[in-house]
Amino acid sequence: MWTVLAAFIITFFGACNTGRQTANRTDGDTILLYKKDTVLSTSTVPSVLTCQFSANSQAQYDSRRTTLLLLDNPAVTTLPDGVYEVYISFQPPGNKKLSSSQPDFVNVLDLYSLTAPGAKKWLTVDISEHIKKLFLLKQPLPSMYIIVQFGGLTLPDGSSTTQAGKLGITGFRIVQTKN
Amino acid sequence: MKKATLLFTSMLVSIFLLVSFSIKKKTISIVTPTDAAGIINCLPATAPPLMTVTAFQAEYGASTIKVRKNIDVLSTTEINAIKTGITNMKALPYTNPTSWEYQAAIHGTFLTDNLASWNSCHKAGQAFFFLAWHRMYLYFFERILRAKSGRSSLTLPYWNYQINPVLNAAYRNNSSSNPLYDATRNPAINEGGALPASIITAFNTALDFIPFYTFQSNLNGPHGSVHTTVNGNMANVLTAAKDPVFWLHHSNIDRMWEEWLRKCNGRASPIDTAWLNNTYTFFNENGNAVSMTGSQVVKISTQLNYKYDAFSSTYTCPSARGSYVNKQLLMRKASAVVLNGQTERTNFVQEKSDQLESFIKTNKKTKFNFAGDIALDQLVLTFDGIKIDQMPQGVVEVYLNQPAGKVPSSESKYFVGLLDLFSAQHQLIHALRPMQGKDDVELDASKVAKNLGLTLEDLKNAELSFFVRGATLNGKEVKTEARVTILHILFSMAQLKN
Repeated sequence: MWTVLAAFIITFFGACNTGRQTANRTDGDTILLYKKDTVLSTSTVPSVLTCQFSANSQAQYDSRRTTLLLLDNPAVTTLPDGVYEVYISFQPPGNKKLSSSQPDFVNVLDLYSLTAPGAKKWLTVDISEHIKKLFLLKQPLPSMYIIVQFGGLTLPDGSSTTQAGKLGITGFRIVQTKN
Repeated sequence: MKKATLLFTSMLVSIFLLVSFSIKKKTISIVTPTDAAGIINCLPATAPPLMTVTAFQAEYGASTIKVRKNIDVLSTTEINAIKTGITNMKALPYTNPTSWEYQAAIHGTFLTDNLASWNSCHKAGQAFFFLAWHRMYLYFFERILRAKSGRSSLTLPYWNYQINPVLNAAYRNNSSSNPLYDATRNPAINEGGALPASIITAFNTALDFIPFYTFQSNLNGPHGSVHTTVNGNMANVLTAAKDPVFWLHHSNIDRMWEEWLRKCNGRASPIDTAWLNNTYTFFNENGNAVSMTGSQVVKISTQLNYKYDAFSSTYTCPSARGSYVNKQLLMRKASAVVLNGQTERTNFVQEKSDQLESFIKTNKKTKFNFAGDIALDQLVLTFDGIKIDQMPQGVVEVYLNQPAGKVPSSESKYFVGLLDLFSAQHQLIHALRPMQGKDDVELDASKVAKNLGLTLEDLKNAELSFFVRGATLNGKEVKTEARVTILHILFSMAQLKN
């Protein structure tokens, strides 16, 4: 039931491309470069979030600031037998499994911190270095792809665990810290 | 009409989905966020009077330095001592501060007694203290475990997953008498499954980040992923420290802090007063409350009397807190350099060398001091007054003394770095923003100068090459060009000051 509903939502909203985008704004400690409200649920297939900075956001970007990817309202229904890896690329993932030895690899998601009393409403990934590289490579910045891929444990017989768990988010933001 | 119906249906399903998320039993409930950058938080408990540094040293610093070792090199006797310690701690009532349950509850617990220091980690607003809090926590837990084990040389071992991503067999032995075993773990871990390689990559990447808070926040992903991959008790903040693996894991995290410092290049623990004076309370082996501040856990060997047996590399670091100062001009290219197309070469042969000769004479120095892991001298290449008429669809690579005709490669010993045109452009656009400071672009040419064996005199004949490299798409490089004018190029030398 769950999976079917999630799949329906993702299909209906076109994965990540049709979410509402919000104009740049400044709030508190961060400057918002990008925001998209989109429902996403991970599975064995890599999940892709597509992001296209507006000209205004590109002008606001400062390579000396910390850039964070925030995945909003994360809900873990089942922990994976492994990790969720995050990649950022100009290319969609295609059919190839991505590897953490590739330069597109950013980090693994920290689901553990969500269990803390008073945890945040989002998962945070520091993407400063990767965004900096992308900005250096291309001006203006074309669409980029944020890929969340399940990575399993390697068992003693050489096989990998396949239980990818279930993580849902309702949107994502890219922000820069002010200091 | 069809569209409206479809939209209405999708909204209903969305609401149902979100409600399902929130009522699902295993769903993690989340409350008001605090700060964006941090993840792991620790809140101070009610503190007893703080001991002075001297008093703390007198009480806890008298013993010889103990060595924390990799779990995979521990002898059976050493592992048995840990088992004895845990068994004895577990035999105590949970209200005893030296009991296993109480110690685990300091980290987090579902119990509602709210005894002193319970749930003192992972609370809002203290993300910046993650490493320090756990260092204190481990230090006092280790003292308790040592006392309960009856082995005076006991130290907490660490799980070096960067070398062996499989949990040590002693922790996977499911004998009912084995206190190191936790049946709640992911069965794959207890069966000898290896942590995903991406965790190790993420740890190694985090070690490259400077400054401290960036390094610390980049640990969150791999640190948390070890917790959730081990699963069971480890996957929840409120139960994590009940699994003996927790202590292996956090000893390694603590070791990484040390490793990070040893990698030099300006790495240093925090010096801000908020961090240095942040106070937490733990319990010693006698069950007495002891308060500590961040300033008391900066140097493990001199302040806490322990060290680690091994790091991934041998580092020599003249000063973890050093910085390059007193930058002095050596050579300056008076005329502008124009990069128009894909490549450009320029040299300093015709330039005046008064500054360089004066420097050599004044300092009685003809060679750079690049010895050691971190050099005492730094050769700085400054590109001043950059004007961009055409931004390349790629990067501009800078090479020093690259032989003519040699194919440029960023892997070569001539590669200095990338000319950060984006920052240069940004500075031009925002030229009046005082926050941004400099209006030039700098590259550290020390490594290249060292690899090429350059002397100060050699700068008179220095030659710079620029190469515009396009992005790689589908395995092929896309050719691109640039039109960039650099008003001045300067060689300067800075010196390390401790």
